[in-house]
Amino acid sequence: MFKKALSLPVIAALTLAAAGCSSGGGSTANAPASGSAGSTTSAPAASTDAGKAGASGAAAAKTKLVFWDKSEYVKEYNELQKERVAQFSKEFNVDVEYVAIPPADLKTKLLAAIEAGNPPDLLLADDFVAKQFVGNKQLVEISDILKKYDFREDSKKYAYALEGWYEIPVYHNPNVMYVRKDKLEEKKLDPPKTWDDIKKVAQAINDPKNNFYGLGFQLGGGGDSEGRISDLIRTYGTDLVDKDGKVTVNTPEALEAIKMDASFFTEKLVPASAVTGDDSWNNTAYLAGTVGIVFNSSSIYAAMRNDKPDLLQKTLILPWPAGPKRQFGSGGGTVFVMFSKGKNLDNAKKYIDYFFNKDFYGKLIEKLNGLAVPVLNGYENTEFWQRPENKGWFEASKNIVPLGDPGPPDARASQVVSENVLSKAVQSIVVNKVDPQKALDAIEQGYKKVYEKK
Amino acid sequence: MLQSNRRSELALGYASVMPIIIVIFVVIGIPFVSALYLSLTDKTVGADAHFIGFANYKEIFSDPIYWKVLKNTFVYFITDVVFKLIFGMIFALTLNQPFFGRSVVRVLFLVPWAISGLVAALTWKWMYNDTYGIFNQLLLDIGLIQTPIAWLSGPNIALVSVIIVNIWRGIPFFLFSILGGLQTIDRQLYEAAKIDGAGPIRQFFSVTIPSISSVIVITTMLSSIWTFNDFENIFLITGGGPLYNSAVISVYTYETAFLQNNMGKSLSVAGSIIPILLVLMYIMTRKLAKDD
Repeated sequence: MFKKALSLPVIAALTLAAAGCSSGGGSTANAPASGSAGSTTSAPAASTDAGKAGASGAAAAKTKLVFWDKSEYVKEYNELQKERVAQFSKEFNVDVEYVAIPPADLKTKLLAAIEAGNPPDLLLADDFVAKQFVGNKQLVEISDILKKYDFREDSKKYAYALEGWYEIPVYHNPNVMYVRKDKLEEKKLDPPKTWDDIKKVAQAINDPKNNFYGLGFQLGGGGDSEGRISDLIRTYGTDLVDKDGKVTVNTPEALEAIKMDASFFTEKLVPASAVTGDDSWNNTAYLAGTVGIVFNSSSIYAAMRNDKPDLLQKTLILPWPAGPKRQFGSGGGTVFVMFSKGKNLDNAKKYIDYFFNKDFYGKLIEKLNGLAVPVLNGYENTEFWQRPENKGWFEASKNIVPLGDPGPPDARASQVVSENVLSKAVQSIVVNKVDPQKALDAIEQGYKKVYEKK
Repeated sequence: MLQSNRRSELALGYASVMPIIIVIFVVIGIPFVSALYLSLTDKTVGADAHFIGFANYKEIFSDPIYWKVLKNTFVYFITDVVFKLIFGMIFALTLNQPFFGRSVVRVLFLVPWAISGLVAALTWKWMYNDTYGIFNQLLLDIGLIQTPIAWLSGPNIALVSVIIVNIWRGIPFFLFSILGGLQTIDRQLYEAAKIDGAGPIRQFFSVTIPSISSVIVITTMLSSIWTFNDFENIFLITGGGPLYNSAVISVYTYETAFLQNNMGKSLSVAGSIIPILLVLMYIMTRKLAKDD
């Protein structure tokens, strides 16, 4: 009772903050079941058994499923998911509460829901968001589900955490470099292959007087800026943590890497607002035609295909650059997780089954125009993925380096990203003119605070 | 007999106020005391809280970021409230005069207060943008600047930018509160002052201000409390950046709770400003009691 009373203010504070801090909140789509429950006439092959189970239980009371999804930049994704949810609701006589939440708000809402003891039954989120919840027995163990489907070996890295198997891979989300081909041609430059090339190209095409900047890099925190700085440090030869989770970031190579990153900003190769730009900032800047090079998932590609075909014509899509020592593929995964305190876990499992129906899954992934690459075997040689414009995305998904690599896969890698340790350190060099070595010391301290916490 | 009547009156009185006391205790008292207790623990989401004494308070008081954020909070709320009061007063005096289209102008002045905070914040964010925002475009066009101003990412200007938005949003509250007060002033007071030879300025300070002083105090105090706790405006426009240069206590509390997942520390940040808010509330309730 006392504990319950104590949790009241936290729940209230979290709920208020989650509601008040939402930048627009998520869209909610209730998909109520129809009266003709359990109809399997249009049920896809893989779901037929489950559908029959639903039919046999038609007389039973309607059950519920709370499903939180991330709202994607590519709107077709949420539309298709919503349709699928509605079909599921009808076939299984389940009242589904489907909520699409902007990625920036997802963590806040989840923390509030978890503290209130009322998490969703099923969550679809980025791996680095989901991994924060693998501790404290908050998630349902899923190794049985993992065995049920023919997952690509490289997708299982999302499923595994030190604590066990808790995440079901849904799709790969490769990250690439977008470069303005017309600007390269104008200056007779070769496409950049290394970080040094990037800086040289940016210097050559930078034209602030005409509102055009060489780079669309940002420092406002979030996966994009943390990912860029982390990649830069690693390609210079330093791992931020070793395989045992020991912090190893404070090296002369890492110092050079963060000096390089800071120089993009101090040399004004980016718009001034980049210093506080968030994860959507670079999408907007590139699509507005005000920057020459950005790193991003295929959300920019999909947006150009739909709305800016001219810009797509002027764009080169390249792998992430190499540093003096190494080169890494970038990106991440999207996963399903189920919360152990979820009240309708059976329905969550049924929906996962329904989702992985071969026809639906293939169609959903194709609709995403490369944003999503399948995690299941058997798709690579299909006509869609063999097309030249899609093949590159599939290849890129094979080289994605998991978050926190080579450190242990656990919640700590997500936590340092969440605290924006790297972005704040580079920001301090750019904004407060802090000595780069002191900024690197701050990174080491920030990482140790998370990795050495008992 | 008399004593018995008094006793039953007293009992009836207590019985009447009891429901509201219970509601206040449950809705405000328990969460408040619990929040104070949790600020003395290592509470994180999904885990049990362990009592750690004043460790969180020691940590925040020795953290330069906390003091920077607290200073920003004072700069933010004092500047905002002063400017909102000055502009609110000027506009209220103007709108208290008869002129053609006064009703329309009054409605227009209500717009910043009436529209959603989210819409206002995002609109201002767009206008402040350094590459396609209207402010930079105008300044560039008229030749006042050569390169765009980093309204939201400049360390010295980000706080000013969010202050401007808060002033813009808050003026209508002052305006209409003061306007309401102005309309209750007896015109005869002004006529008497005129006969005594008082000019417009003397009339303002000797008649207007004393007549609406309680409105001014209450409006200012309420606005101070709201502005002190303002979150939405800053969070949506700058996120408190760059490097806490525009962060206030509420934004810092949010960051500690949700990005660092440190609820105990976050509640200690929130708890540390309770004495300041208590002083503001004391002044306000004292003024209200005096007026009663």
